[in-house]
Amino acid sequence: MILFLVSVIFFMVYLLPGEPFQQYYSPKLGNELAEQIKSKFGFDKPIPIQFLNWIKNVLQGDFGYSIVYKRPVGSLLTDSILVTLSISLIAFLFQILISIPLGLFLLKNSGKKIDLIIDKLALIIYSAPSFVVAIVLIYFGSIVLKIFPSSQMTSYNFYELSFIDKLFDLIHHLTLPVLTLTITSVSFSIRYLRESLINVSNEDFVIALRANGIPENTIRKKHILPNALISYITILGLEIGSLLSKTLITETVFSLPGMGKLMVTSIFTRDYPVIIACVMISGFMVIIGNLIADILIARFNPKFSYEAVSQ
Amino acid sequence: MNEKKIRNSFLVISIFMLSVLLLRFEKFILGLNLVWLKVVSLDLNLSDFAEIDFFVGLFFSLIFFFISIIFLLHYFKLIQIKFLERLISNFKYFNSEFLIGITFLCFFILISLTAPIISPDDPSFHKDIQLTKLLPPLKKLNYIKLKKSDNFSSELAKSKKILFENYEEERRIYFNQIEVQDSIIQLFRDKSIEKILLEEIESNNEFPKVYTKIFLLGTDEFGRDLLSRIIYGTRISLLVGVFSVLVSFLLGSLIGYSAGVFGGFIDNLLMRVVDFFLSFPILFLVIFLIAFLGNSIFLLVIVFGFSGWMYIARLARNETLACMKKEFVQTLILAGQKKFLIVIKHILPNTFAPILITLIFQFSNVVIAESALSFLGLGVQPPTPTLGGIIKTGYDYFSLASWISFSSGFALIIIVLTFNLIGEGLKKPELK
Repeated sequence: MILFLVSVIFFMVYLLPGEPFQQYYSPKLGNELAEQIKSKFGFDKPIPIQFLNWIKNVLQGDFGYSIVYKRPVGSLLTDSILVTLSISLIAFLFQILISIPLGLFLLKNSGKKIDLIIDKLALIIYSAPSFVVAIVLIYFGSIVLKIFPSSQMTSYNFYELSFIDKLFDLIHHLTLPVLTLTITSVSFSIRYLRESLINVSNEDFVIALRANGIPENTIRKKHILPNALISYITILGLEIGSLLSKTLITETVFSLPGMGKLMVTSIFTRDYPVIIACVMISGFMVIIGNLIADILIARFNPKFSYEAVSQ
Repeated sequence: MNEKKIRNSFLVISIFMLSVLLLRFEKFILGLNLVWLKVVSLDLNLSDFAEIDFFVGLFFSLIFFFISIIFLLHYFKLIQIKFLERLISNFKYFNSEFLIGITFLCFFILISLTAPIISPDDPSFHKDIQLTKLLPPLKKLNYIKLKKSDNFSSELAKSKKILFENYEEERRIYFNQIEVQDSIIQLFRDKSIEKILLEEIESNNEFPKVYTKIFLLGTDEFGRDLLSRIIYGTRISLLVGVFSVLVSFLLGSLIGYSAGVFGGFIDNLLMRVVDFFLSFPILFLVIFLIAFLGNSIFLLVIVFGFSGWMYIARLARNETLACMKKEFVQTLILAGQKKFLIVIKHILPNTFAPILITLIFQFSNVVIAESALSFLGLGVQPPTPTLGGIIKTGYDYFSLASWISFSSGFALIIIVLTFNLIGEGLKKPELK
C-alpha cells in the first residue's frame, strides 16, 4: 500500500511542469555539462527506470539527495524525525498522565458544576485549531509574561553551553510547543474518556457492585476505569498514527526544525525527494499506529476479535 | 421553559438583523437606488463579480429584513402565523446545546449571505495606509471627502487617483488634526503636514464637512477594515465547508449504499478501497495535492471532499446492512421493488440521522483544515480574505497588533464550536 502511495506521488511529481535538477546548473554551462549532471543523478533515463532505481535505493536505506539542502535525504530525515518524535511523544505522555486522573475526577464529581464547566471548556478548546491555541500561549507566555521564547528550538549560543545548561535550554524552548500539543490532545481525549466513563458507570454490573457495598472509590478505579480505557486506547492508537500531521502546524508556528516544517518548506521549494520520503514516513506512521491500536485492543479486550476491529 | 428560550433566541436574531441593516441604512438605500436605476435604464448586463455579489447581498438582506419584521410582530403577538408556532413547537424537542448551535448558525448564515451590505468597508480596500494601518479596535478617525471632480490643483487631491466614481470610500482623506486658513486647509497626517483647497472637498458654509469613522475591530497591516475581512473570511470558510461536505456526502453515500445493497464481491471490493484510503495520511496528502495543483477554492472543495468520504461510506454501508435485515425492506425486495428506488425512498431516510451527524462533525474539521492551510500559506491566496490568512498576518505583526489574530481566531473558534454544538446536540436528543 505504501508502495502504491509512493508511486502515485512519484509519478505526480514528474507530471508537473519544471525540472528539479535545473537548480544545479546555470544555462551558461553548456549542454555537455548539463547532460553530465543529468546522468549523474539519473535524470536522463526514462521515468519508470528512474522509479525502479529509486525503489531499489530506498530498500537499501538510501532516500536520495535533497536538491535544496544539498544533503542526503536520510540524514535530513533523521535530524527532523528526532525533533518531531521527541516533542510529540512527550506531549503524548503528558496527555495520558493528565487525562486519566482528570477523567476520574470528573466521574467523581459528575453532574456537579465543575464537571459541566470542564466539559464545556474542553469543547471550546477542542473547537480551537492548534495554531490559535499556540498563538494564545505565545501571547501569554512570551509577550505578557516574557518567560518563554516564542520560536526556535535552541538559543543562539547553544553549542557553547554545558550539558545541563543545554538540557535546560531545550526545556525552556520546548515548553510552549509541548503545552500546545498537550492542551489540544487532552481537550479531545478528555471528552471521549468522560463519555465512556459515564456510559460504563451506568451499566448493570456497576449497580450490582454498588449493591454489594463495595466502596465507590474501588468501583471507579478497579471496575469502571479498565472498561472505559478500552475505547480510550483505540483513540490513542489512532493518535499515534496522526502524530506527524498534528505536530506539523505547531512546528511551523514555533519554527522548530521538525518533520512538518521540513515537509512544508520542501513543498514550497519543490524538493521532491524530501517530499516523497516525508509522505512515505507519515504513511508508515499511520499504518504502524493502526497496528498498535489493533494489538492493544486485542490485548486489553478479549471480547474483540480481529474481524470486529476491521469491520 | 424551552419554548420561551427559543422565542427569545428568535427575537435576538431578528433584532440583530434589523439593527445591523438600520446601521447600514445608507448602503441599503444606495443599493435600492442602483436597482431602480438598472430597472429604469434596462441596463442589466452585470459586468463585475463584486457587483453581482452586492445585488445578491441586497436581495438576501431585503428578505431577512421582512422576515425579521414578521418575527418581531409575531413575538409581540400583533399577528398570528401558524407556521411559526409549529416551527417553535418542533424545536422544543431538542436540547439546549443544539439550540445554541442553531442560533449561532443562523447568525453566520445571515452574515455570510448579506456580507456586501453589512460589512462596514470593502474587505480588500486599502488606500491611505499611512494613517489607517494597524489601528487598535474601536479607534476613531476623522476624514474629509473630496468632491466628485477631475481637475484638482493641490498635490494631495491629485495624488488620490479615483478609479470608481460611485465608490464613496475612495474619496476619503483621513487626518489627525485640521486647521482652516481661509480657503486653504492644513491636514496633519501622521508625520507630515499637507495642504488642500477648500473648494476641492465637501463643505458647508466655509467649513469643511468632517466625518468620523470607527474601526470596530481595528485594521490590519494594509489599513483594511478587520471586521469586514472577518465577515468575508467567514463566508469563504462556510462556502468551502458546505461544498466539500456535499462532495464527500455524494461520493460516500454512492459507494456506501451500493456496497450495502449489492453485497458480496462488490461490497468486499469497495470496503477494501475505503480501508486503503483511510490509511492515507490525510493532512500531508492534502497539503501535497494543493501545493502542486494550485489553490483555488474549487480545488480546495474537491480535495477536502475527497479526504472525508471514507467515513461516510463505511457508516452508510453498515447502516444499510442493518436496515436490509428489517422486515419492511425484505418485503419490498420480495414485492419486486427496484433496488435503486428502495435505497432512495426507504433506506436513505432511515439511515440519514447518523450520516448527518458525521457530516456536521466533518464540516467543523474541514473548516479547521481550511484555516490551517491558509495559515501555512497554502490555502486560498491572499487578496481573498480567509480566517487562517488573517490569523497569519496577525501572527506576523504579533507584538504590534495582537488583536488581529485574537479577533479572527475568536471568530474561527465560534464557527467550529457552532457545528460541534449542533453535532453534540443531535447526538443525544433529550426528549422533553
